[in-house]
Amino acid sequence: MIGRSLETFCKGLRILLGCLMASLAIPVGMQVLSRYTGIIPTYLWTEELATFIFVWVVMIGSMVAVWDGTHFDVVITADAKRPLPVFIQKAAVHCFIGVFAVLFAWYGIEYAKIGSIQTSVMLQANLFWIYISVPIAGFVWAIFSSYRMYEAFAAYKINKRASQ
Amino acid sequence: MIISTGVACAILVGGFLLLILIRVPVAFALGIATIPIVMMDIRLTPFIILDRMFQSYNSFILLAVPFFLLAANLMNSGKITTKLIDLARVLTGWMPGGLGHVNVAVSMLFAGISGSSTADAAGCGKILIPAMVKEGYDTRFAIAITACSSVMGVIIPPSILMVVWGGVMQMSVGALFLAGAIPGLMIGFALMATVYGYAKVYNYPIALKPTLPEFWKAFKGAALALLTPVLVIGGIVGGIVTPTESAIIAAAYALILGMFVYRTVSVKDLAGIFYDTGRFASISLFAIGTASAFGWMLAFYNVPRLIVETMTASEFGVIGTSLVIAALFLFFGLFIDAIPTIIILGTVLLPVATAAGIHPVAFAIIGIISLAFGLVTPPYGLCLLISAAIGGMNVVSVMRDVCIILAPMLLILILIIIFPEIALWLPRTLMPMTFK
Repeated sequence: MIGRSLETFCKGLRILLGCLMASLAIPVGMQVLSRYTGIIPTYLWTEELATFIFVWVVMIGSMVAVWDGTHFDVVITADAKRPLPVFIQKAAVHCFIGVFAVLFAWYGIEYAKIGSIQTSVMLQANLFWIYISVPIAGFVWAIFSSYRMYEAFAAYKINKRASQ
Repeated sequence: MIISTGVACAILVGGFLLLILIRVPVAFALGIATIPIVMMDIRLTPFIILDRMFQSYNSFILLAVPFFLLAANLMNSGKITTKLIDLARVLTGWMPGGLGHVNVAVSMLFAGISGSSTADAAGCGKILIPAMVKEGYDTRFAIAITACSSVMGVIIPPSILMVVWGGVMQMSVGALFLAGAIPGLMIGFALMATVYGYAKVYNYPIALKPTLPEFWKAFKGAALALLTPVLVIGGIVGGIVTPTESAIIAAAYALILGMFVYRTVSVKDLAGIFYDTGRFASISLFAIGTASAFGWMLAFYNVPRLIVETMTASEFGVIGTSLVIAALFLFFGLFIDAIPTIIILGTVLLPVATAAGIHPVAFAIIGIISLAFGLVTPPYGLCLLISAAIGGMNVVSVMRDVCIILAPMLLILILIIIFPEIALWLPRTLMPMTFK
């Protein structure tokens, strides 16, 4: 039930990521068109908008990658075979990501508050809407990694029973 | 408390190594390794880490990365890669080791258009590895040559790594692009020589020479795609467009070719292409943030200054220092993705190179070629992992062939270290005003 809800939520994030990636082309494309064709007037805010969308693309992509387990890791040691070492390794990874995520979310809230008292130069946008991506990313990483840790524990119990 | 440089270094580097040893993703390991220091040193707060990460994303030049990846994905989906393979086949397929040469030649063509090695390995490998196996080539050789030739993607311009390097080190991306051209071509020809050697030893098949109509047909099919490097590199070197603008022009051009000229990309396909691009770009770029925080912390504890002092005292000279720099990039490239390595190690070693009298552009090319080796060497050789997965083999079982193919490439790296003019001549000739 929780797993399915989180998968649905992640599906929403994937759609959002695709949409943001497509929308990223708009301000940069506008900049190119205005500079080289003159079809549209030169807008000064396109560069700023592009970097704001870019920040959200990176943050949402990082959330999806925690759920999918696609952040790059390095395989130096051989894969563990027995259920307990497999669980310990996976739990340690998710635990570290979880701690980082909680700190990111906790201090990110204060960071977003700092953003809320700032305004961007060109767009005159409140930076809260950009800085808030930090605590949201931390919060989502924490939930995703906690669930993956729970899954690793469930797999450990099943494998342990099977090996007995 | 105030932490000393030695303790900070031990915690940062030791912590990072320990974390990747237990398989914490590299991007997170870089961030997590900074936590103990931030918590202990009274001069630091977690906001510094957050801010360093956040500010690293606030870069217009980095926007070129997703757009170059988008161009590569559109090329792979739009069958542009297939057209490049057809052209490479008529150009080189008739030589001893036919499809091996095609593999190298198409990587050179792909590199001139996309700037992404992983997209090259995935796009060309999917077609060429099964084709090579079917024609009687050893699977291990097919995997190894696909992986090794794909590294030209980051050396022959345009190159995503050069865009990042230029952005991080405040260098002309145009000059870097031009500097990568000759070394990239040299590596391509070295790979073809290796394929020739393999063909002679293992009696690999030879195809018939193409007829003129066949050649014309293949050239016509790929001609429009071959215009991309003219648009991208010509635009940047001519000072007409910025790297980010050139990347979106490349993506728009690939989109027009795929949707309207070759009619192989539908509106429905676009959703998947945008998602795939966003997913892969964000994984690579997220690491930039944590690497920036990690690199900033090394700089805060004066690690770059200490390295400069140590290297200067050692009096290695230009070639010696270049060799040490290449060795460090090669070593780090084994374990970390190229982009975070540029941010951490590149910024640390730039003052070392400057102090030794190495030209910044030569330093960049040495760094990028060394990092390109990391793309095909375990444990973090992404191109090798992709190619091995396509060929259905274990990475370890293809390592012998990878080492054989890498040997001449290593020789070229050493040549560039000894004669940096190989890289510097083209930018010096074509950009005399901006290149000194």
